[in-house]
Amino acid sequence: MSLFRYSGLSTKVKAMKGRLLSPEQFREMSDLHSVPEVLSYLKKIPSYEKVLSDKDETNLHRGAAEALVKQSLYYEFGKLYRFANLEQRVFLGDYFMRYEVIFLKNVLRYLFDSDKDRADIDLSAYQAVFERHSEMNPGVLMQAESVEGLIGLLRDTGYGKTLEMVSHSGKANLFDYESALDMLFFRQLWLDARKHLKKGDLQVILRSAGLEADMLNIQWIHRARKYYHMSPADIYEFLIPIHYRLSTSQVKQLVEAESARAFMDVLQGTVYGRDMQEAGAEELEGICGRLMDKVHALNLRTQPFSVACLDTYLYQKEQEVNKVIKVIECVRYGLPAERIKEYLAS
Amino acid sequence: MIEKMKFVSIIGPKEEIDRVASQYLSRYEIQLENTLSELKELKNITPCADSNPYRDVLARAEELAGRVRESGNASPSGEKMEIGAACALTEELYGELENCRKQKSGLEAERKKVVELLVNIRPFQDLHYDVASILHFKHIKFRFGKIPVESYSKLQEYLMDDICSIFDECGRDENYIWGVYFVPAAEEEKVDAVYASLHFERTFIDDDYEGTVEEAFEALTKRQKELEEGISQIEASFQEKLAARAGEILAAAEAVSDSAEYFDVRRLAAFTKAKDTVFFILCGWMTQGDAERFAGEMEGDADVFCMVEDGKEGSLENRFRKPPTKLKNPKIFKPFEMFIRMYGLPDYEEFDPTIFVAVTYSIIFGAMFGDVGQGLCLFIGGMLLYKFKKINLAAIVGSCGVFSTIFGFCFGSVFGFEDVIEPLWLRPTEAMTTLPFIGNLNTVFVVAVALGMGLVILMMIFHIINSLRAKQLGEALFDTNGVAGLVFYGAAAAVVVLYMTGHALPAGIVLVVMFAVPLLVIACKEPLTNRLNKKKELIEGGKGMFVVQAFFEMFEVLLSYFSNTLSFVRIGAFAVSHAAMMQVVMMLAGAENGGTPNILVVIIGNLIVLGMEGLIVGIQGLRLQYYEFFSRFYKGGGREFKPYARTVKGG
Repeated sequence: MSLFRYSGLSTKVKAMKGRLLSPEQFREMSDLHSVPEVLSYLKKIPSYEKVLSDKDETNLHRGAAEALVKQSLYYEFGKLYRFANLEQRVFLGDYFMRYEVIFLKNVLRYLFDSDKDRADIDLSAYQAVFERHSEMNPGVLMQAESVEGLIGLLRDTGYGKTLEMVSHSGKANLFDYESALDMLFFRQLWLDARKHLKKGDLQVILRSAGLEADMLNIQWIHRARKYYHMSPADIYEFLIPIHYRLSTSQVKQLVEAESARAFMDVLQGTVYGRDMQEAGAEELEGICGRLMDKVHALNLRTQPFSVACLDTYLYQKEQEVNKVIKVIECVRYGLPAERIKEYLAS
Repeated sequence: MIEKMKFVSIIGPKEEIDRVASQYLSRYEIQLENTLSELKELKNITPCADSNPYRDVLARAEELAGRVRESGNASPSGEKMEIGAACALTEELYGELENCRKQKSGLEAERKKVVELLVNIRPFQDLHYDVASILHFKHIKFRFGKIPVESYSKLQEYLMDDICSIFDECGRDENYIWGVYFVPAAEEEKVDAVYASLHFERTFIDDDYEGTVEEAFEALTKRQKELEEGISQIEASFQEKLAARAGEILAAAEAVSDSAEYFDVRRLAAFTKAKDTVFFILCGWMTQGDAERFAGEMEGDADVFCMVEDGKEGSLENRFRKPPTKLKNPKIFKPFEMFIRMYGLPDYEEFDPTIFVAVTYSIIFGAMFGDVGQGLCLFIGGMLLYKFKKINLAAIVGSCGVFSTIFGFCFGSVFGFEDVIEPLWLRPTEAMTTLPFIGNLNTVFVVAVALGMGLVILMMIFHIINSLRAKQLGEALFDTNGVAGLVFYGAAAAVVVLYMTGHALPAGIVLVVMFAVPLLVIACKEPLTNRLNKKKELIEGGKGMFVVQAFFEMFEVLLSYFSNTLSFVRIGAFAVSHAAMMQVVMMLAGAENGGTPNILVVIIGNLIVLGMEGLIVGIQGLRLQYYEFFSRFYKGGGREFKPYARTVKGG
């Protein structure tokens, strides 16, 4: 049955996948010397042509350029949405929350970092796709003068309630708000997936979202311990309340480990231990990234005719966009091509 | 018909203005105009600068009266109250109201405090323990408060085993869990830090409570009730006082509001100073009859002087605004004024189409809905509704019913039974006429179109008359509905009629003169009008533009002549469709094979057809009025006559 349900979409995704940038193309981009050059290189690639074509790359500000590159992700999302049937659209609708959370985090960052001028941010990247898939209006939200104002604008949504609770507890900082949003997203996705998805699809999504939650938790625990020296209670407070392959006691051990060494030892004992073996703590982020890549690829391989084709494609596109932005940043700061390539490889 | 209007100016010393307002203006129908703008060419007149002295009293009186009205069905005591007494009464009672408000506010403050305490402890009701004794623990510290549900699950999952604390859950909602945790004094700092990390919010509970939370809660609830009762008692006793004098209060409120309103006449008046006296000038429109009687009565008044101007052309030109329109029609046509109002009242100089609408609408309705039985039902139902509910539409339906009945006899139809009476004229579904060129056609269609042609020509004549009255010669001569249009349309109609009746057509040269010349005139309406008005520039914009525009306008004009005429086919069509619909009803009732029809089906079917067709025909008839008739001759740009103050009837 799933073969029929996903036959069209999986073909479409396969075609779109062929247009993702290859490592070779990334290498070529790294060899370029200026941002305009990178942009004109991107202009020739079909998936970016759409968003960049009517812009003049020579005097495009880097921030604006990045917004446009991001727009290509939303553009592709919209494309898949139009192609999807009703059932798949339900999933994409649930998935869109991810982008809403990303956007809200951006707004919050601007609110906390009051030096930045918000007037010249190009919101068109969000506007088009949000109009269709979301009840939020990016233009209006970006105008919020304060966190309270933002909460007021979000009053009737789940976000508003979540943020309000954080702000009620007093002395909240940016990190509290962001982790609350993340928690909301994962909890909601966890619920929605169980409600809307059939068995095979559910398995795929639980695998990828569960892994992401575990990875984020591990990274946060690591960072909180290493850089911020937070107390265990504080760490627990912002963990995503989803256990995929990490048990409660393992999380507890990770948080309460005596030293970095002990932390790594505990990590070795978990299901993820095998992947962590060859690496030191420094490369934790890289390893997590690779694990995510692996699981998404695995999903698609084992269940090619399922929601995995959407999930994996959107994941890969998001990664690609992040990488392109990285390249643009590196080129902007004049990093040598070799370094960029190394950086991309990690 | 439109009532003739007179422009009345009243002049008198300033002190007299209130007397004039209450003595005369409240009894006559007069539409006051803003004197300042009417007399704008006068230099030494000033507006009224006084503020209304009754404003505060009015607000108070209204508040008191509002309370009285709310409490029961009191009616004002019969006699009029002196304004001075009314003000005094209002002030006195309002003082008492203020007094009682003050008493209330004391109680309300206490109630607020009680409610706050209640809110504080409400979540802890399930704590079956003496609060006071908790508050006096020595070695165990306690914290009342709430914790987000999210954090609570984390607390249970990770931390509960490690920290030295007991959490007692007292209640929860979707976001928070309320409860109290206990901690040994020695561990206080550490445990508090953990709870703080988990966003535990403390509620501070005072010593004001006694016994367990439940008992305290009950005691407080009781106190709250007592306070509320006290408040409502004060309220009730005041209300009683008011009720005792309800009649007086309402009369006072009326007197005050009258005085305030009469005072407001000043806003429309202008003042001028002559020697030591300040005079007021008021002006407005009155109907002719009223104006004469008014002037007569005024003559006996030594202080005040009034001047009546004719509403005729000459004197009107220096008036600021046109006279208002007051429709005056025989009572039987009055309900149809509703249709005119819906479209817009006629201008003062336009003619009132009410009678015309009444006649044509009723006849057209009857022709489209010819059925003796249903017509009688409409007539009786409409008239009854009008008698008891005074609904204008019902009267219209009633008069339409009369014509329905008449046409029902013509078509020989009673409740859909086509064989009960012989038609006086024809049966719409069966009577056919053979026309050259077109072929066989229902006679009613032919008659409807012929009638339509006649009506369109009549409309054009109306338009010409209206334009001449308004002194728009260009409009009367060259417009599509003017003389040129009339000649063209009349000629076209005549040719069609001649052809259809088999007569010979007039010579070609006559046709050219009759068709081409009027069309050319219509096309060149603008330059011709400009020439008549002796304007310099004949054509605005270029010649090419003019020709293109004229061409397309011509096209549109011809098309609209054609479509407007054909539009009248609907009269015949509905006559036919009525018969057809009733046939279906009869078929459903089982009458088609000569059997006895099912009475129930016949009744229900008749009701449905009556409702549905009545509605459709009513709307279509109105459509004909508005689009085919009014658009040809009627502008409807008048303003309504709105008499000042409550007139004799109202007050």
